[in-house]
Amino acid sequence: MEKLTDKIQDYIDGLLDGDELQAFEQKLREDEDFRNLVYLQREVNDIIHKRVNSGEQDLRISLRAAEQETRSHDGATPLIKKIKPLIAVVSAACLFVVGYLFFTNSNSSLYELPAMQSEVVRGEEAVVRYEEAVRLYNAKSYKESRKMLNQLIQEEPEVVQYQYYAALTYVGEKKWKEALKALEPVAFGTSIFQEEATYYMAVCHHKEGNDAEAKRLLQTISSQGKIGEKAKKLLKKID
Amino acid sequence: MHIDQIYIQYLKENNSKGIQLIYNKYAKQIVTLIVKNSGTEDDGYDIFQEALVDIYHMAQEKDFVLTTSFGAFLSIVCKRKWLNALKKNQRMPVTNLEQSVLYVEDDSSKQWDDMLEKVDKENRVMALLNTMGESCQQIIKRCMTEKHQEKIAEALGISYAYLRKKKSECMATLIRKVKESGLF
Repeated sequence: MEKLTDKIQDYIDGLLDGDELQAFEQKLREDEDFRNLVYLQREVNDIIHKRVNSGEQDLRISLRAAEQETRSHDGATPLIKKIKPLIAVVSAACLFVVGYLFFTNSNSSLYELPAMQSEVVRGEEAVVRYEEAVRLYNAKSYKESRKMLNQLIQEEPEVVQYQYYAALTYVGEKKWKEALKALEPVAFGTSIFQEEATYYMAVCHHKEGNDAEAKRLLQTISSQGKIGEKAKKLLKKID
Repeated sequence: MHIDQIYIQYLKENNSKGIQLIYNKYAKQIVTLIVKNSGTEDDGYDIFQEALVDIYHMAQEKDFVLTTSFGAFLSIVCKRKWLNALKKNQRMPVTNLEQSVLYVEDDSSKQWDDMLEKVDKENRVMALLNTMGESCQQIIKRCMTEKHQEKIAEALGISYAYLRKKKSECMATLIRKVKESGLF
């Protein structure tokens, strides 16, 4: 199933060619469910493409400015008035979310490392050393995996993904101090691993008994997605 | 084409003076309507803003032509949005809603139904995207706005192959959420 979805996005992005494209189009003609799935993904793809390029964010800036101007003439205090009714709703939502997380999830997954992602994408050859590092990491042979990753870091120091997983190998070995040192540049950077690195820094501080710093870091993580949920759970646990 | 098409143009051009004029002319009327129907003043302004954003998106369609006054059209969009919000939050029983001044059951609104439904659907897809993790959102949005994916991968500090793999996974997760929502 995962290979199939890989192919769908590649097809939409126009990245399939040759035999692969022919095989995909044949399946498209013969399999109605598959065809519907491709059409759905294309429609969603088109909606997002249209919306993110629509200039909506610029319009919203003008709308907010106009609202502020309008309300200031009404003698209202927009920010406070806007926030006040939300407080009860947000508080209730927080209680619900915290309660839900508390009762439905165990804490055992809080310290688990994420699986390292393979790079094998259809139509491309895998980078042998990276794939070996993935295999070793996922088999919890952290020291060996780190050795391979360090070689890759030497060759491509700008690829943060290698640094991130290399740092996580220390977490896997429970070497909290080394992990903190290696995670820090990723957590303070701007890559897509920034929040995850911050989370694992918090885990390290927590394991080191420095809960104040762990809490401070966890509070900087946005509430969306899996890492947001894990951060909330860990905060609750520390409290 | 209605003479009020100029207001649509203000939105399309993000004309700040024109937008201020829209607020001066129509905001109070809409806010009052929402307040009279179980809402607060803040709800009123939120609905007003979201309705203008919806109209902005509708106006991007090349066959969009305003055939009624801007005020009447804006009122239809706001009523519909507020009805949906009330139903979603169950702040008013459905029977009361149907008797309320919000209930829209006339031909003037029906001509916009398809367009309004399309915008609702798009809004919900974007809302689902915004429930995803920060990295998935970033990857999907950047891949939709920037042409060269190799450069995106470089900027995000990941390899091109990893970006493609991650994008595929993120899109698959989003499609699952869309299917579960019963939206399509």
